[in-house]
Amino acid sequence: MGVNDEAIWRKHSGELVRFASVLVGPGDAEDLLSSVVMRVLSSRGSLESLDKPRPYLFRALVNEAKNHRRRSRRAAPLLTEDQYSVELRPEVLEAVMGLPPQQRAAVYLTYWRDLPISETSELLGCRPGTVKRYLFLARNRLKELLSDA
Amino acid sequence: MTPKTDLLGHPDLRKVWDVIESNAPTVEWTDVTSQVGQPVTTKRTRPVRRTVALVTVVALVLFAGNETVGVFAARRALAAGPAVAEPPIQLRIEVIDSSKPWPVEALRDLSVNDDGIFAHTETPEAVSEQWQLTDAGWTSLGVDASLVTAGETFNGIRYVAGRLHAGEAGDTAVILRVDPESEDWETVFTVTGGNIAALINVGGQLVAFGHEDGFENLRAWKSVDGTSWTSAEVEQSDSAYVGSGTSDGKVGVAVGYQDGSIPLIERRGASIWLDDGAGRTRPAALPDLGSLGFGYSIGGFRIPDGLEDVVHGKRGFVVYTGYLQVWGGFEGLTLQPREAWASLVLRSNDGNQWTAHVLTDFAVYQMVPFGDGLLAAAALPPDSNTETIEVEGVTTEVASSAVNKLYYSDDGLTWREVTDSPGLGKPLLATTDGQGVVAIDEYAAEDKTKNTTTAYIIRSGE
Repeated sequence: MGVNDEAIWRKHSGELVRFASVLVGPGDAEDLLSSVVMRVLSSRGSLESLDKPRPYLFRALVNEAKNHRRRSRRAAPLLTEDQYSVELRPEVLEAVMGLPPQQRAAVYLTYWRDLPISETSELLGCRPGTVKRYLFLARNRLKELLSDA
Repeated sequence: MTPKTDLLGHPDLRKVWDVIESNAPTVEWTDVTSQVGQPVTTKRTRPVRRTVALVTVVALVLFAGNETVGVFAARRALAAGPAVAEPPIQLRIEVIDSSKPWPVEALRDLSVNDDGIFAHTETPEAVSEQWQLTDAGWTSLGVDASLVTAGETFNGIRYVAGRLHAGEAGDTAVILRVDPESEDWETVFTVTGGNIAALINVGGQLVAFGHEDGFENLRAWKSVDGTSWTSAEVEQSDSAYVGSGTSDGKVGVAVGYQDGSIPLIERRGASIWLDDGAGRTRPAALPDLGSLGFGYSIGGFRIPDGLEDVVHGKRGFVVYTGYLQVWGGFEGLTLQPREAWASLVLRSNDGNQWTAHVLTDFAVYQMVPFGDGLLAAAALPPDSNTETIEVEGVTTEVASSAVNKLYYSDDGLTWREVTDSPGLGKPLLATTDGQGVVAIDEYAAEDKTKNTTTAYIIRSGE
C-alpha cells in the first residue's frame, strides 16, 4: 500500500460508498466497495498508483455492480423495512433500482448529485453523448414504470 | 442535499436517493485493508465467458424460427466483419505542444477552424474556459459559463452552440456567433431548458438539432441568416434522442436513438434523420440492425442502443457506435469477451441508402475525416489489450481501458493500423483543413502519471 492511500480513501470514501449504495443497495455497498479496493490493491499495489483514483474507482464500482447484478439473481430486498422512509413507495424504489447500473448511475450523478454531464461522463468513463443517451433511456423507462405505479 | 436539476418532477424520485444515501454504511480504511490477502469474491474471465455461452444458448432456444436465424446471422456478420488490412500505414505525427495549462480531467472539447486550434475545458465546479493554441502554447480566451456542444461555419461566420448552466433555473441552450464587426461573441438564439446537439450548414440554411426540454421533444431549428430562427418538427420524433450531426452541404444527417412506439412489436433503437435544409426532417431507412444480435434489448430483440457520432468524408457518411457490447457497460476491471467488443459502422454515399457492418478488430472511440479517408482512435479487444495482475496469489489478466491505436481507412470498412501511434489515453480528435488532424490527449506519451496534455498534428506521408 502507498503512504498516501489512506488520505485518498478519506477524501473519496464518502461519495464512493454512497455511490455503491445507489448501485447495489446499502446492504451490499460495503462489500462492493471493499471488493473493488481490494482488487486495486492486489493488482496495482496502492491507490496512489492510479492516475486518477476518483474516476477509476467510480468506473470500477459500476463495472463490479454489473457483475453483482449478474450474480445476485436472488430477490434480496435493497432496503430493509426499517430503512424505508414512510413516504417512499416501494414501487418507486423498485423502478429506480430496476434501471441498468449505467443508467441509474447517470441519473444519480446528474439529477441528484447535480454534476455537469461532462463530469458524469468522466466518472463513468464514457463520452458525454453516451451519458445523455443513458439519461434519455432512464427517463423514458422511469416515466413508463411510474405511470403504471 | 437539494438538487438543482429535477427528474420528471416526481417527488418520490428525490426521496429514493435521499433514503439510499442516508442508509449508506460507513466504511473505514481499516475495514478494507483488513481484507487484503483474503479471497476476492468474483472470478474474472471464465465465468464471464460461460455466461456468454449460456446467454447465447438461451437466446437460441428462446428466439426460435426467424430470430434463431438472426442470432446465427449475427455470428456470421461478426466473422465476416470489416477487418484491419495489411500493411500498416505510416503517417507524420508531430508533437506540437506538451504543456498542461488546465486542471487534470478538465479537457472537454477540441475544435479547429480557420482561426486556429481551440480547446474547451470545464472544471468540476462547472467553470468553463476556452483556450487557443498559439506559438506560446495554450492561451486562455477567458472564462464563460457555457459548455460547447456543437459548432459550424455559416456564410463565413463561426457559430457555436452551447449550454449555459443556470442553476435553479436549469440549463439553457444557446447559439453564439462571432459578430462580424466587433469580433465579440453575440447570442443569436436561446432555448430555455433545451439542448442543442448538432449545428450544421445544409441547403443554404443553418440547422440546429436538439431537444426543447432537456432531452425530450426532438426539434430542428432553422435559420437563413443566422439571427432569426424558426422551430421545425421532426418526423418520428416521439421518444427520440439526437446526439450528433453533420452535413455534406446537400443533406444533413443527425444520429441518435428512438424508442419504438409499440415497444414489443417495433424495434427502432439506433436511428438516423435526414434534412435538406428546406424540407421536413425525416427518418432514414436503415437495414435490419436487429439481426446483428447486439445491444439494448427491446421486447426480447437486441438492437444497438444508439449511434455515437457521424462523420462525412470524401466517400460519404459514416455513422458509428462506440463499444457495442452484449451487456453494454464500461471497460475497466472486467475482462469482457471478444464478442462483446465491437463497433457498428453504417455507411451511405448520400444519406438515402445505408449499409451496416460490424467492426470486430477494435472499438471506435472517435472517428474524424482525414485527407481522402478517415482516422479513428480506437481500443483493442480486451483479450489483446490486457495487463497482468495478481489476485489471490494467482496471476490473471484484466482488460486495459486504454484507447491505444490510431487507424486509417479509405472507406470506413477496411482499416489500416497507423504505425508509431502515440500512446493515447482518451484523446480528442479534430480535422484541420481536410488534410490533417489535431489530436490532444491528457496523458504523456510514455509516462501517464505526468498527466501532461499533449497536442499532436497528424498528416499524410512519412
